[in-house]
Amino acid sequence: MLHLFKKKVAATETVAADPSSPFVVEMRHISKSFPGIKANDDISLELKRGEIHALLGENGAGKSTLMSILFGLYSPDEGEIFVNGQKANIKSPNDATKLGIGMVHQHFMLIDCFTGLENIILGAEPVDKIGVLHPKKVRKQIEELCEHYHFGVDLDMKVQDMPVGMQQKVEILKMLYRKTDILIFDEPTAVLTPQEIDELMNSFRELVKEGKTILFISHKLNEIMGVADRVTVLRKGKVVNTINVKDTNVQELSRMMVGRDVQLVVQKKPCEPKKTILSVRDLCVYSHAKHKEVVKNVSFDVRQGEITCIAGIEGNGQTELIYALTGLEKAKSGKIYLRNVAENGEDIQLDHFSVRQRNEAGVAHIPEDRHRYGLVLDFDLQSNMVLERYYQKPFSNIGWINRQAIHSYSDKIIEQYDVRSGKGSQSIVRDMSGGNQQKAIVGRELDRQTPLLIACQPTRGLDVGAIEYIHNQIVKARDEDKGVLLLSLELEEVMNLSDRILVMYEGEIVADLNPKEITLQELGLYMSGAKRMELPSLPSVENSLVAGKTVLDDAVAAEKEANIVEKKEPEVENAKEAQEAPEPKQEEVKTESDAQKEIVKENPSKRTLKKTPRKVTKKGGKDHE
Amino acid sequence: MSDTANTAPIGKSRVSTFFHKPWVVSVLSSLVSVVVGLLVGFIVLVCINPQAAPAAFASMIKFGFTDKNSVANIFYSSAPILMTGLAVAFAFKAGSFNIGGAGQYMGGATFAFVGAALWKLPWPVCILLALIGGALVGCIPGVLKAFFNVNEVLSAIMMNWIVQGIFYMVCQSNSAILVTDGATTKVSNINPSAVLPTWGLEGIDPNFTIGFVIACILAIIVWLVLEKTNLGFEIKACGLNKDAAKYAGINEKKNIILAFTISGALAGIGGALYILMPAAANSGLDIKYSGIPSQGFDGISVALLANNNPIGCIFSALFIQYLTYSGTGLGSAFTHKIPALIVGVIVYFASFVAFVRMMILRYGGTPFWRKWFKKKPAPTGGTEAPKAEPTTGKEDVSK
Repeated sequence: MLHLFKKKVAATETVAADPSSPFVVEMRHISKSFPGIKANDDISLELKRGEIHALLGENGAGKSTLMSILFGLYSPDEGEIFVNGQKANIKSPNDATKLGIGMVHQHFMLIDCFTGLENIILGAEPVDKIGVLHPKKVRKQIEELCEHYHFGVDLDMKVQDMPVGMQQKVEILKMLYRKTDILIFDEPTAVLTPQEIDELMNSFRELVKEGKTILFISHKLNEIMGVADRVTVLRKGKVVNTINVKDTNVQELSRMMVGRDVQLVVQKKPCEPKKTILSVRDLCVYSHAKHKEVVKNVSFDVRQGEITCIAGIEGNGQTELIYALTGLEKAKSGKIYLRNVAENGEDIQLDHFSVRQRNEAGVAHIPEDRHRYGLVLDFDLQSNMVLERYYQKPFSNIGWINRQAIHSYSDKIIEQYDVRSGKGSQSIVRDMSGGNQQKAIVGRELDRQTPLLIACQPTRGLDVGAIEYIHNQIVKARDEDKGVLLLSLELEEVMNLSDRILVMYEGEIVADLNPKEITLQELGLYMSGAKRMELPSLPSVENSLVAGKTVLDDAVAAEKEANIVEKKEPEVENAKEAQEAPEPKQEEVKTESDAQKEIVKENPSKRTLKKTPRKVTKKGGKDHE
Repeated sequence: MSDTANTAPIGKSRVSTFFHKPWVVSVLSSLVSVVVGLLVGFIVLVCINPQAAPAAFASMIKFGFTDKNSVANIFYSSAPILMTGLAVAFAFKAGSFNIGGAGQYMGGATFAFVGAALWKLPWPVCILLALIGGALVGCIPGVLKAFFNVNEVLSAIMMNWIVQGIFYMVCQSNSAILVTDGATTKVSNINPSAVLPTWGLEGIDPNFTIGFVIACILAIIVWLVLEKTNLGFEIKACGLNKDAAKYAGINEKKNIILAFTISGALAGIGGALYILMPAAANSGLDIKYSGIPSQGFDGISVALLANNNPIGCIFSALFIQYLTYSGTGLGSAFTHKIPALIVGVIVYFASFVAFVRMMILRYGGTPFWRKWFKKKPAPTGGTEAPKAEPTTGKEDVSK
């Protein structure tokens, strides 16, 4: 093994030493077809030594295919690749590694239960003649690399315990250890916080200083403007242009990428929040997969006509919170109330409801993982359009499915929400593009006319055009006085689309923010747990239950009071925040509101909500029809 | 995945759209499996005895059609494996592998036999009893899977042996059933009303009963349930994507249990159709404690070859029964196990149905000679207005 490793290093060194060509990599006239489509059509791309080159394009534009060809995962139908001026025949990732090309995939190729060091040396292990591993031999070398590039990587920490940013650095170290000169990154910033993105961009600049060349795939225009030297834009498998970043701007890039002008910022009216539609109190969720409580005593309200966004770094309990709200997973404890929008209807306690009862009560859910939850991929489009309603009256009659009714309903949604597919209602969903699959889900959920919409990462993996469309639909739902609970990992989306941001960190809500009043950097501090806000405890819904009034109204009134307190007097925990935040003042307001809470508590009622939900559900169901 | 619609589609001709119809693809892929299986069987014959092989193979192929009686035999004997095939196909549609067809078949047979021989019940009641017996045996792996996440393959296989043991025990312990050691009493002697009626079909063959007709009707009913009812929608949704079914508010636990119960009931009816068939009823049953009846496992072949289509099961059951029957036509130069081998190969290839289907989807409509002579097919495959289909392949191009 050791001699193999030596050979590899030797090979890369000889190649790297050849400075005859101005370009480190030249891809000439690359074409690649898959059955039914031409993914790459006569693409030429040159990488200058020591530049940061961005590859920009929508989903399905052929970026990943092109990179897979360069990295040896696919072989091109036509075209040639030159590395350092010499024709290269890259048939496998091993060939690419020998030529000094390394790739960081979007989903990291790391072994979770190995340490950083073990992952770095994996595949190029320092072993002696009889095959005994000697990691210490190269440890120093890797530590030097870490120091040189200011990577704070703990080599003895297991990958599963590392934050995502550190995992990414392990991936980069893996390439550097193998003396890679050309580093390919596939959407490297998709999973990072703003701070981590800044760090990564600094690493990029340092790597380039050392003579490395970086090629990164992205569809985030701001990053490209910030860090790249040149950018190549792909559309529908063809090169639109390669230009210097200095000579262009975001608008032009997006036009090149999509082929038309795109609104990059969501256009929306100021938000006018109305009554509370959803109240969550002290919700705890225990995850059996992670063997711990992932949602801890979460309480919040969602109001009609407002987009409430749950932000946070992936894996801080947001997904489990949504599962508990929609009934996909059982909550350990806590209460969930939904306002009944029907006249004189009583509010509905959801926490003991099944998924179907929640659906009928008025919860629409755009799931985070559209392939896992949102769609039955092998069903046709029309069956997916009635996935939650197939048993209801027009679509089914005494147990028999009415295809005719389903078909015409599906056609209606397809037209209304502009879902494009090969065979209309009869298309198999698996064959549709991701954007149209998502549009189908969005259309289906919005058309159910529910008072509450829970949208989880509604634009994940979609291109600018589809994002624009879906954002507009969500804003439209808000303007129709629906309550919208948005879960998003994309910070731009969080800042752009939401009217109110709740930040989740380690299963708790640590901040309640107004997107207009905070910066991206500040949001990042809350998300990474560096900062937290002391939130006032929300009034208990049950205690505010008064005969003759609906429950949630009182909760709203009390909450408004609570909000005033919170806005004027954010309680301060760490010193850093203390400097920025205004001095605490207005003690009276707080006491006043406390007094009101006590009054509310003194009006207990013997009626409980649990007795009525079934009746209410039926009403709700009829309303939808 | 499949974010491919943005990219220019290659047009397709009319021929190609014909080849993309789901049923055409299914039928074609099954036929391909059959042809390949027969071919491999022939090669094996050639390997064993090159001289005798062609004649023996030809006589085997012809054997099923020698006279009216042999054709009739294939028809009426295929009823039990059609039922077990339906059972397996139904479970497959629900996303479960019911390998316990044999046990459920035995369960049904036990109930029907007890009903016929001990309680002297008429045949429709015996079939109903068999339905209950099969359903009881079938629902156990379903319950275990739904509530305790027990692997259905393991629990169903274990059920096979348990039920086999129970059947043996019932027969051994009851002198009314057991006549001589290792053989049961003849149902037709003690309770003629339990033997399946012929309703005029005896004109074709004295053994030809309505068993095959019942099985065919049940196949159509299963198809109707799967395609036209809420229950079918739920079961298929659970089978294709359990998580999405849960998201849609479908009770997936209920559906797993229900699917296994229905599947078991179907296999159980198969057991009754065998026991109450004149051929079996007249001779008594061989109850040596040797092994599990092969019909249960033949059902898996039937379902796989039919691509889990209930209607297709009718044809594949006939075909597999035909091959089994034809074994006797091979002649003395070869062992009679050769047809079993051919069935094995066919099933082996039938499990490549998905692969064959992919190949058809990829190359269907593009005649192979064009692949050979022209390196690049023209961008539009046909002159007739090509339908704009986004993609055919399921390749993940974008990622």
